[in-house]
Amino acid sequence: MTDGTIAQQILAAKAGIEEAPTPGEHLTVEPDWILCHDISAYPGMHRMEQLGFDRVATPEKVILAFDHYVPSPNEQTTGQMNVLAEWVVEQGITHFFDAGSGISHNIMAEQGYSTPGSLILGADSHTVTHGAFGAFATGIGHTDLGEVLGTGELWLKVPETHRVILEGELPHGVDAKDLALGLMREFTTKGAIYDAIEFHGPGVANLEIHQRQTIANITVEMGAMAGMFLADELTEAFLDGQAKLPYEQVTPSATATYSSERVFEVEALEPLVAKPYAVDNIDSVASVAGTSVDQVFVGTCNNSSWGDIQEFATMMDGDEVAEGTDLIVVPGTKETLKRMNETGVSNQLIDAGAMIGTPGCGPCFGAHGGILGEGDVCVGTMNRNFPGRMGPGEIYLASPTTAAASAIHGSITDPREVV
Amino acid sequence: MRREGPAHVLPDDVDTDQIIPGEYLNTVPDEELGAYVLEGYDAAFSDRVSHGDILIAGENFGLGSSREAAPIAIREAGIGAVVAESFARIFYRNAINVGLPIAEVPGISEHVSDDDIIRVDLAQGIVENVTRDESFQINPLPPSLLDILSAGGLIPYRRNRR
Ligand code: SF4
Repeated sequence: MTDGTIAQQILAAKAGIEEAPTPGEHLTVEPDWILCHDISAYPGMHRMEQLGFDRVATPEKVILAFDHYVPSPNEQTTGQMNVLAEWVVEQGITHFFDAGSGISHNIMAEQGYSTPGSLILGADSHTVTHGAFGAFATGIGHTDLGEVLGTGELWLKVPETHRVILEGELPHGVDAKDLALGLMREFTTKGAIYDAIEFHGPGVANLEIHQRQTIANITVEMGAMAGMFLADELTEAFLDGQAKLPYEQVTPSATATYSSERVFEVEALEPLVAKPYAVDNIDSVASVAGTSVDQVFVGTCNNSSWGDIQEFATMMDGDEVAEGTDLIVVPGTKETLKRMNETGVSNQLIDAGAMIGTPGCGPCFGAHGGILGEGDVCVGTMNRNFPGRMGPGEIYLASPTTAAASAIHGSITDPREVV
Repeated sequence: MRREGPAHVLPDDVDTDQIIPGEYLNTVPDEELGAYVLEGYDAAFSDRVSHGDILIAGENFGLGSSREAAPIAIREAGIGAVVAESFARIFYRNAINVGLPIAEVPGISEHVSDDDIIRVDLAQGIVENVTRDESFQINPLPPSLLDILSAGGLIPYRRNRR
């Protein structure tokens, strides 16, 4: 490996150059994985043809998951999915995950696609999630997808990197999502536009893999191109026996330079929310406690791993959802759903009054299911609360624990009061 | 590439869900997306837009989802160019790829009001507020990207080169 930050080293390796590239430089890189889903693959397939390519250059690197519109909400979508299912066979794409398998990012994490040092280009902005494993993973659009499908390569601009040092452990009742929201408050939605973020420090070892996913996932909301954790023993243990590619740990060199460095005291955190309508509109749960809640939604690539659902279920602890509040739980993958069934969590949540959805994105982006009405308030474990994201209502982003406490009370509730 | 027209001024942080809401993503063909442009920001926006108008935006324009429908909706609404203080990364790439002229001019919002006549010259790297007789430097676009944009996007660019 060359010198430089993780981003510089991975991009240099994938561009086949020896020297560390300078931030701002454009490199043509070959990704290890090309990710797309039911929304992006259809236009991506057409763009590829319009760009003049009949064949996918590297079908063995393509991952396609039907996750956004599952089960299909309308005729057009079903038609497009049918076309895609044929295209996959025609092009020899084998890493195909049909409707019901789960969210692309969660599937990839769970099945060992996301590995340290790999380069993942995904036609989905939350591709940054795979930084949890030390991958350089970033989102692209449909024409870019067409280009990388057709050629197996793409130009990328080498980013500057911010270094964040995490100190200490999460206090009781405080979740990795609160840490993610705390970082959001620091960086804001503009703090890392086109940059990479590296997470270092003793606090990292205290974070489980699914918690790192939550944090890496939110970095795109800071404008970041990638957000990366250094792989450690936990990463290796997780990948043991299931990594899809041989991997090499990438460590920033001593000469790596950073555009900023900040120390973040994890211990000082309290339960947080992002209030409507911006992901950096952060306040304490306490400050909005008592706000009446119409819908609680647990799911999305930000918070739907088995660990997240388990935290939510533990907090519910046999309680029921308050009258007048809907609870929707959508596991990130089929495997997570099976674990929910095996451990009795599904029945516990159904008895509590929950609706359990098909593994996938669920109501996250307002295209089907769980649409909010005018004036409705949703507490959700997702990553976006933009105006109109889930219909005309208001979204508060929160942790699974805050979501559970709020579901029980029918109003936004500090989980430490329930613990 | 030169574009000239009256301005519509937008705030900071206009995200892609506001530019084109999720419900239109796979139900509306590209050419018809213009009718819904910025609907999540202002339901009547498309009624106020005429061919050749210029969008002036604040920081971080186009943050959020990677949906390419966002710059396509703006292009299909006939908007000549988007001048913003800064662009979100994926939107920036997508805009170039679909041939929507974009120009990054820090501080521009303070120098433009709605309906001011704006002239954008990408080759010269200059944005002018004709109404106020002020001009501003564009953060330069690398020549390779300017070529793609001038061709009208990546698809025509590749066709021309074949
Ligand atoms: S869960 Fe939501 S944020 Fe994640 S990929 Fe699906 S729609 Fe996007």
